[in-house]
Amino acid sequence: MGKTFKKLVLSLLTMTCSTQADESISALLEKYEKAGKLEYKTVQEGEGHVIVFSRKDLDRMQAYTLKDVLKTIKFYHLYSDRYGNNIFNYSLLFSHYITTVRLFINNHEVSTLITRTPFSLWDNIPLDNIDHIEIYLGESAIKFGNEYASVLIKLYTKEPEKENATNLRLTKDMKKGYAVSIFDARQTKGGISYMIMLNQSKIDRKTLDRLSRDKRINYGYFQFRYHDVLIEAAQMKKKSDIFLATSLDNDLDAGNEDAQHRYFSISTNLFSDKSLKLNFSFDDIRYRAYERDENGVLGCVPNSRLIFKLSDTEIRETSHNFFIQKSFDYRENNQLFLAAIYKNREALIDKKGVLITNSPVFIKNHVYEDYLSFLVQNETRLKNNMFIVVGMRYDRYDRPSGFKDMNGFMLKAEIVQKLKYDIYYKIFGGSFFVPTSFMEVLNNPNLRKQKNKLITVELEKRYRKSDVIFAFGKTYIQNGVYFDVSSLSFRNLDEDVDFTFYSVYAKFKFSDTGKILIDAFKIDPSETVLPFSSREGAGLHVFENIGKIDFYFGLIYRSGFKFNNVSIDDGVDLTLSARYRVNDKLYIGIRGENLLDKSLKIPYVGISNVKFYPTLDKKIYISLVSSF
Amino acid sequence: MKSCIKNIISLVLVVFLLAFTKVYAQIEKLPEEIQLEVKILEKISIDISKKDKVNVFVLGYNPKYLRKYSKVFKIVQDCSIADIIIAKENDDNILAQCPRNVPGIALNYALLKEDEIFIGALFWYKGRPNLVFIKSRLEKFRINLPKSYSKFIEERIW
Repeated sequence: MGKTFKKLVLSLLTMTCSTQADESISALLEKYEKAGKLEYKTVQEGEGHVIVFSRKDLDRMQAYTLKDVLKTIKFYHLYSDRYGNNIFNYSLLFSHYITTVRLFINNHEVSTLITRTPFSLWDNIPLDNIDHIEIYLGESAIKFGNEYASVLIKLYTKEPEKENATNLRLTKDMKKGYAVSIFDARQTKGGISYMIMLNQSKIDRKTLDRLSRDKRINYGYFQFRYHDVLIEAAQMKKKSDIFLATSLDNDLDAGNEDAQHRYFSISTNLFSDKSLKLNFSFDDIRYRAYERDENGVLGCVPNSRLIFKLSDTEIRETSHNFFIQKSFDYRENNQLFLAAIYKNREALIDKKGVLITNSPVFIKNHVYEDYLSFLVQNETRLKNNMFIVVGMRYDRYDRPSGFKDMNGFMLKAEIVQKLKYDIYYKIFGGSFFVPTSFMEVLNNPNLRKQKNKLITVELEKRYRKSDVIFAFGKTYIQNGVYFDVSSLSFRNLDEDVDFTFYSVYAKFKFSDTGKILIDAFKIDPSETVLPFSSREGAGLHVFENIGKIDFYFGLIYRSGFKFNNVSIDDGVDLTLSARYRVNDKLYIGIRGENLLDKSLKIPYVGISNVKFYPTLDKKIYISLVSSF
Repeated sequence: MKSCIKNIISLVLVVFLLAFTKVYAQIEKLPEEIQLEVKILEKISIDISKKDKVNVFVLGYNPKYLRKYSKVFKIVQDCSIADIIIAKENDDNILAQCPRNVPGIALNYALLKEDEIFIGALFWYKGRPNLVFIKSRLEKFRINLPKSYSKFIEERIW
């Protein structure tokens, strides 16, 4: 549907310009700008329900870090884990540990091997050099060189050849937090372009019961483009206070965390039709966590069910990744994709500590994983405005270090059709499996892979200035993985779980520069074996530009719930942003988030108690952005 | 040792990709974007030259785009017989050999700054296309652009 629509819009743009000889130069430039937008080249709506945050949206929201965007996504909520990292979690769950969200920067996936998550390091990635963000909901995204994803987040960097500028941002909050970002992106001669981005941030969080989750971040990104070859290198470095960590009594005596992720990636598109995509990348991740508590901690990787009073864990991970994809156009309106992924990863865990019984402990784990995946996907456009996608992927995880190998098929099918009166429908069905992470199998080697089946139906009506989408779906989960606090271990659910979800989304363009987005959702679980969080939520987002000022109003609601007989109030997060254009080269902005100080509280379960803390602080930021 | 071998293999692969890709390096933009880019250049060239068919001398810009999407442009190999010059780069200082009475459109702001043969530029800045004409240079070339261009005419270079 998206591609068809995209083609229609672009063909209308070009058709109009070729039929109106006297069209003004301003109108042509406007169309040229629209046609040159990066999202027209990158969005793959055949890969699921996609939400796009354009560059304009990000600017108006003053969304300078990834968390500012993720908190607005329906069916999900932003969630501060026990280490103070902002994780992106399905609204129904309050799991502090999520392995199914994939994060890409251009073609490179950033994720750790042990925890299989990007959020331990990349939750606050600065967005200054990001052109737009695509978020693929549902489980249908299998074509991007990714492993299983319940949600796939793609950050696309700005195109240097369209920037030709240096950008400086200074942000200060009302406490001790700040951010300094500078990036330079330009096209030089001979098909060469480059981008350099540097960021340093201090995230100053409210101390809760003397537990701090402050962080210091240093981020660097480099991109070099030579015709169709894209070379990227990045480093994310974080030093942070560790919040609750794995303390059993939810009251850590002391702790801190150092982490660093470096990667190098090279991608290219070959052949005149760019139908062969190749990517090679290398990751190096180093992580150290120190935790101390007289009443016991599990240590950041609970290798066994030992309880420490002092745990010092070092992890070193390396990963070599290859991705190849070839597309074939055949028989008018058919496109076949063949792809293969190979990842060779290893991690060394070195854990020193003192048990609660005062015995010293030294544990070393060296784990390996060879991941191999083959994809076949066919996309057909029929004459009756119907678009059919059928895909199959085989994933194989070989774990020679004494853990169970895993393999299995993922299947998906999707039909999209445009009916009369600008009505569209989309039906999607799929069967997937969720690989276990080493974090889980080090704790419980007998853990089985989780299997998911999903069906969704979407109905969309488009008007001249607005768009309304109704969606519902059902997910079936077999062998659901959860952390059992009483046995301090990861386990599979004995019973199958299913839940139904409904959502409505509306977009209304009320002026040339203004739009309103409204969404609401509800989730109905059929079982109550899982501890549940919000089941309903809604969002209202208003974007407008008046004169030299960009405005954004965002209101996010997540329903309260009962946990351990404690009632949690509904969560309401109000964000307001205003950005004043002093001149073409200078902007001054003010942004407030969680202004009502009523964002949803999250339960943190200890052995003897449960604590409830909000993920977001009430914060006001002032920013100055200058281009030269 | 194992890791070292992997890195060497990776490096070889990278070099191979770089070498191989140069051969196949092609258009990266979407056809619609290029088509509109050519339309804009066409319109500007017609309004500058006041001709329906324009002889164009191209430097550092893919002539295939003009051949494919324009019926107005005729590409010439000698800039002295051109009505207009369209340039993205000026390798080997070829512009120095061109007569100074042929106006140019730069596709790069640095070129506009460098050489007064360019009366204006179409270039991308901060993710948006920009069109700029320099008033003094338009006067020097005795070019009167239609009123619709007035907001793109600037007194001086930034």
